[in-house]
Amino acid sequence: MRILFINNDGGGYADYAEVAPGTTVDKFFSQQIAGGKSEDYLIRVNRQPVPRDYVLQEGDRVTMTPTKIEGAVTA
Amino acid sequence: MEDELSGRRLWQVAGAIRDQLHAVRMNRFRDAQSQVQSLSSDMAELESVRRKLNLCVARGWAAAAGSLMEQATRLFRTLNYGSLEAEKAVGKPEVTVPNIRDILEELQQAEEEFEGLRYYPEDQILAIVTDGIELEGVYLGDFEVQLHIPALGDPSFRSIYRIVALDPHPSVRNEAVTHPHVNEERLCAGDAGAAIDAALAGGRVCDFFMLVRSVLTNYNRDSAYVTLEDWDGVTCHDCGSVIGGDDTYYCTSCDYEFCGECSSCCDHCDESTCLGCMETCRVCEDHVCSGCMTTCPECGERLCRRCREEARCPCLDEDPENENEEETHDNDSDRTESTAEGGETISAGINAHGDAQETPAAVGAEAAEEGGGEDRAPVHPDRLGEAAVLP
Repeated sequence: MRILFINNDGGGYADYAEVAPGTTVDKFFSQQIAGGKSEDYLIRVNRQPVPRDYVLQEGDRVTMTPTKIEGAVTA
Repeated sequence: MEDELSGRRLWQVAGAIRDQLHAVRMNRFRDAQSQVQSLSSDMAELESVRRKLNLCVARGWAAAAGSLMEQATRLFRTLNYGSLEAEKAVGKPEVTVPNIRDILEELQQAEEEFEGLRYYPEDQILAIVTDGIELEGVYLGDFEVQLHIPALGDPSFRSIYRIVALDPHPSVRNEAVTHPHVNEERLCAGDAGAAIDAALAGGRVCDFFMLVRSVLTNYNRDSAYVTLEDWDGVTCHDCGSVIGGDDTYYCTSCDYEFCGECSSCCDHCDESTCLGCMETCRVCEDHVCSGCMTTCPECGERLCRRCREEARCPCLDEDPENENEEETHDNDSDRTESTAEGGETISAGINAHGDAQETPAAVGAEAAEEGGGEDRAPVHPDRLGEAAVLP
């Protein structure tokens, strides 16, 4: 099934992603953000916070935004 | 005056954002259009050159044909560059303008995430307010992140968004720095820069605000306008008083910071130097930094570089040995020239102590060669007998 995935990590992008039926948010996070800790991200599904074991549905809109980003003098 | 965003106003704001994103899309097309137009003009000029060249060849006008060849060469260069630029402009990624409902949902999400949105209709500024931010024990206050909607579609704006401290706790060192990563209300987004740009380009207003908040709630010590350690000023390394802003002087000699009372400027290079590192040249009595001081190679005493270069160390006046040595060196070089000119062998060298070694015979021959030694012999008559005689 296909969902819209908006990754605000790094360069930031929005694209469709194929996920297997029964994939939870937590599993999808580990697939997409290698080495990342889910507690360091704001994860929203259809613009709402969801529990880690939320099972993704066809057409869901998933957003992952890091909460720890280093600013810099030279942008 | 700010407005509560609700109902119709929310739709209006969403519409304004969409209009700006549409303008961005149109700007991309305009840019491509301009590049293609420029390329097309160059190609038309090339066609004109082609026709003229045909005529020149047919009529045997060699000089005119040569001139056209030069013109064609220039055109090819322009076409190459123009072609690359046009390809770049046309190949820019497609800008997708979200529909107004998507933008509206973004605004509603932002309202929920930040417990309200602010809108300033006069300047078309959309804003959220962060909670009070404290980093590593330093309270910085709450910030308003202001998104200037007209700037979204107009690249001539200096910045699309500003970070305004509502309860400013700026650095003592620089009042324009209200956050380690905010200077003059501009955020240096660092690692979030690309994601923020992408969010704004896609009309993802809530993502934009969340990303900015993520930068504001974190601290990168290695790349801050003012580090939190120095936020409330620094302590003068000498007297211990707390100083900040323009009152801080960095000593380039010892790498510590000092107050104005405990530092001064080098008389020679103008570098800021603490009083402890400042030295007084015993010759010219100028106050100079350690970088402008040196040691006299003759007596080992400290003096400024300027005095050393000008050979003003008192030891050079006091020690006749040094004076004689210098003159001996002069004689050596003169003799070398004489040998070259006269073809005679003159024994001269430097012994282990650095003193000149020369043979009286050689000096006498030299003196005779140069017209009876009128210039040289009277200068150091007593010195000749002291010179080592080589076997």
